[in-house]
Amino acid sequence: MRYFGLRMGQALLLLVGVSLLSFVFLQLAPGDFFSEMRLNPQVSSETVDSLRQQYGLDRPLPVRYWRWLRSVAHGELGFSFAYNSPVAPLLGVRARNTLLLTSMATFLAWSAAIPLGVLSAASPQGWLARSCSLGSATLLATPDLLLALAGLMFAVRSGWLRIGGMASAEIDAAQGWLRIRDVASHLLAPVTVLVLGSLPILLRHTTSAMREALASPFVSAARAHGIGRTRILFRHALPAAMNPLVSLMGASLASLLSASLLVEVVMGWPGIGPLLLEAILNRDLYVVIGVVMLSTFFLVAGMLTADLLLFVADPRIRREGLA
Amino acid sequence: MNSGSLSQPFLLARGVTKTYVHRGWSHRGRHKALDQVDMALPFAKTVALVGESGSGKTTLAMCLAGLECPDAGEIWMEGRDLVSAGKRQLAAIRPQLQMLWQDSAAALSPVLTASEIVEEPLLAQLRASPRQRSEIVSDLFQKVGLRLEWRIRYPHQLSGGQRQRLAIARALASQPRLLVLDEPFTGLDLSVRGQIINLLLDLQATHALTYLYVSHDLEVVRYFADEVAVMHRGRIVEQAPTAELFVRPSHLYTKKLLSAIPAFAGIQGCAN
Amino acid sequence: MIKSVSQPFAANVTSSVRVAPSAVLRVSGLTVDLAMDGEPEMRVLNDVSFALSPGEVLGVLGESGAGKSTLALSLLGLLPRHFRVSRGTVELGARQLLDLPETELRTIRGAEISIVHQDSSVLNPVMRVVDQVAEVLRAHNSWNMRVCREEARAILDTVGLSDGNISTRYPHELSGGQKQRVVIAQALACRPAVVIADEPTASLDITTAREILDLLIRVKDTFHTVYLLISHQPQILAYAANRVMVMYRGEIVEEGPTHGLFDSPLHPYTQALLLCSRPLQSEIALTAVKPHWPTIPTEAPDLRDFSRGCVFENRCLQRMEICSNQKPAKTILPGLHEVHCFEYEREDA
Repeated sequence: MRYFGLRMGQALLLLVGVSLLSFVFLQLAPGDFFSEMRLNPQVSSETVDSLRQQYGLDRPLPVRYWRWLRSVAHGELGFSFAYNSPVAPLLGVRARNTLLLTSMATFLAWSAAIPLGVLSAASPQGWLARSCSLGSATLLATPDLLLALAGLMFAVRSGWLRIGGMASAEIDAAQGWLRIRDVASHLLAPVTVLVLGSLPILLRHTTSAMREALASPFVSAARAHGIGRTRILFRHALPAAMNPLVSLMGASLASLLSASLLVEVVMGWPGIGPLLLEAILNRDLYVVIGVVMLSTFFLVAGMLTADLLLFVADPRIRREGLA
Repeated sequence: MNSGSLSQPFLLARGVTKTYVHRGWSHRGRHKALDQVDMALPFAKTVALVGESGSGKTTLAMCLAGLECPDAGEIWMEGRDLVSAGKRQLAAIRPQLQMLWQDSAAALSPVLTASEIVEEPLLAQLRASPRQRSEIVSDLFQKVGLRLEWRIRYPHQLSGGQRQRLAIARALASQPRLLVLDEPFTGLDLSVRGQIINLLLDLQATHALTYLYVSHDLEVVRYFADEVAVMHRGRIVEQAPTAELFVRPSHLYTKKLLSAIPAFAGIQGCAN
Repeated sequence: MIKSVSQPFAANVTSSVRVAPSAVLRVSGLTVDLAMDGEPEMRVLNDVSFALSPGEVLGVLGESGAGKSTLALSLLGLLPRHFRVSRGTVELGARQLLDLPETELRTIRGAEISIVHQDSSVLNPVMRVVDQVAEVLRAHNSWNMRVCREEARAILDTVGLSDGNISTRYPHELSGGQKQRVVIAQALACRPAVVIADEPTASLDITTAREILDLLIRVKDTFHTVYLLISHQPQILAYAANRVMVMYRGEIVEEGPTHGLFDSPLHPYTQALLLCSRPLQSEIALTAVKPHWPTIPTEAPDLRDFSRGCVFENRCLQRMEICSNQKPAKTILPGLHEVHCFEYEREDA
């Protein structure tokens, strides 16, 4: 348990460090939110200066950092110039949308990878293994951008799927089941693209972990005891193969917020991705920092969860201290 | 220092202590593997180190082979203390201490051919041309009884006995003075075991090698060793010439160990 | 601990199989070849014949390359790819095992013939010990897991793991001896007729090995099984086997009652092998200068060189002209001691 306390302390230090670095780097980039305004001849420089002063952008860095920290303590995470609101609620909504997308995609990807991996490893020369291998190789070689554009094109051309935003304008929240169906139809395309993007790697790992487990002496012994093939696959070999896969699952969790940026931007899903992109281009300082912090938090939490899962899943690790 | 003098042992260990500390998630502890060990290895003779598993035999063997560093104590060899020696001094001494492992397959790199394995120590130490090295390798092969056409084979293409010979050739390449043998005969076929034992005996005579033989096979110990040191819980409880130890053991634990030699009745003439 | 053969046999010199009235397992002329891609065929087992009578422990003595493991796998129908049974039969009771389809074989494996492996890495590292035994029961009975687990606990109790704590542990938490007991429990769970023990004590120290052998002997009569006890150590077989069969390079060279075989080994290979295992008792030992440990000269021939003559010929100190041209037939000597060697054939003719 001390170990976890130590890890959490490290995580906190990491977050502080990341925030500092973000501040410094953004400061290094020339200009700020009001730089665009300066170019506009209709706006006088005094107005710009007073606006800057109003938002505290003329203060030195340490002061701004301190004020931001205080804002974090209040749960506001700074202030967005573009949206004219505290950052936290803005992030909240967008993060929720992203998580909906990525958790669905991660769940589906793993749900497909495990059975496919198990069955591929069971008959390595069979048609399933070969087609999975071919399919994975193709998908791996395809850039995510291409996949996203292809998904977009397919959705638009076929007209079966809704695209752009999370829900259609006609249907509002009050309509329960219709609303869910609507969101689902908007989800379909981006989720498919995400799944296709992450499935190859998961499949590769699952197949190789299973293949290794199937080559173990205890599997041949189980066969010698007359235990059936399916039982051996799922009850004997798969649990033993889980060790490397659990770590991978943790990594999947860690990247929940960050993996979908490209897809969201291309396919118009209102998640964190487009928000971040916009904020960077606008120099919306505190929004950028807020997104970076949130992603870091997820990363660290994901890694810690992976370790915890491993501890639970593998009895050998629980007794690591003893011979 | 004259390593051939009768009064001076070839290697002298004094007060060697080693403790392992565990820092796991759920368990912490200190394990004293070696506790004030005193031992002397006479020159060009074989000393066997016996004891049950967990007695510290392997730890002591690794300390004497220079692979582990004791926490306290001295190991004197040729006028130098290995424990307090500096990095450069140790680097000069290390080649003289070689180790032979129980699992020869694990001790040999699976991606190198037989001749590459034997050549490796030469690359590190000698300033010899490739042709000279190749000659030395062939010479070593013949010394250990390996056919020259096996130079291109990989360890997994050799039998257990052949692999062990290869390991011996590699050890010899460094021109060692001390060879630590960690149960190298277990896992070998009975008929092959004799060949390796005989090879080691011959090499000891021609190269004046000192052997430390770690084992719990008392039958081979009785045959192979000149002296026997008995270890129990990190301490050496008795060290005596072989014949003496087997016939008149003095320590209680030695007596217990000897009495556990299997009374597997049935083979007529079995000593116990 | 050595039991003499308990039943009178009709020793028929001309037949190739000892006629035992109620053999539990009978193997006749088993020949197995190995054909790797691009390489000539290797004969791994050649004309192996033996029978196991009720209550018997038949020891198989041999070194690596003798074909012991291949024999075990053939009996279970688990020969890897590239291995092929060219000839021979394996009879369990009234059934011909080599003819059975895989589905039927699966019901026999573990339930009527089972195997005790040498290495306890045959235990699943992430499954509790009681479950591992229960799995074997579940595969051959239609009980649910709870019943299987109860039965598993009972069997673990029989093999000496009666502490309730132990059954819920994982393999890495047990000692070598305890793990071996679990492996034995798995093999005995369904009360098989034949248990193949493949080097069951190889990775154990002397005291534990003896305990395990005692356990095996004890449960043999409780469970009414026969054992095929495979080992490369003569003392193991001397302790636990009734009869011993010596194998070399895929062939049986000698077979006889334990006592008789170890006291007066007939085949040159057996003689040399036993000499290698107990040098201090041989006449050439114990001189002032450390004598050489007995060994068998030269090397065993490559498996690929299938010779027409005796398998041991190139290393035999007593070889004769005929040994390289023909394979010796079986000679049966008094005391039900059989040997395949021209040395004795001459006398017999």
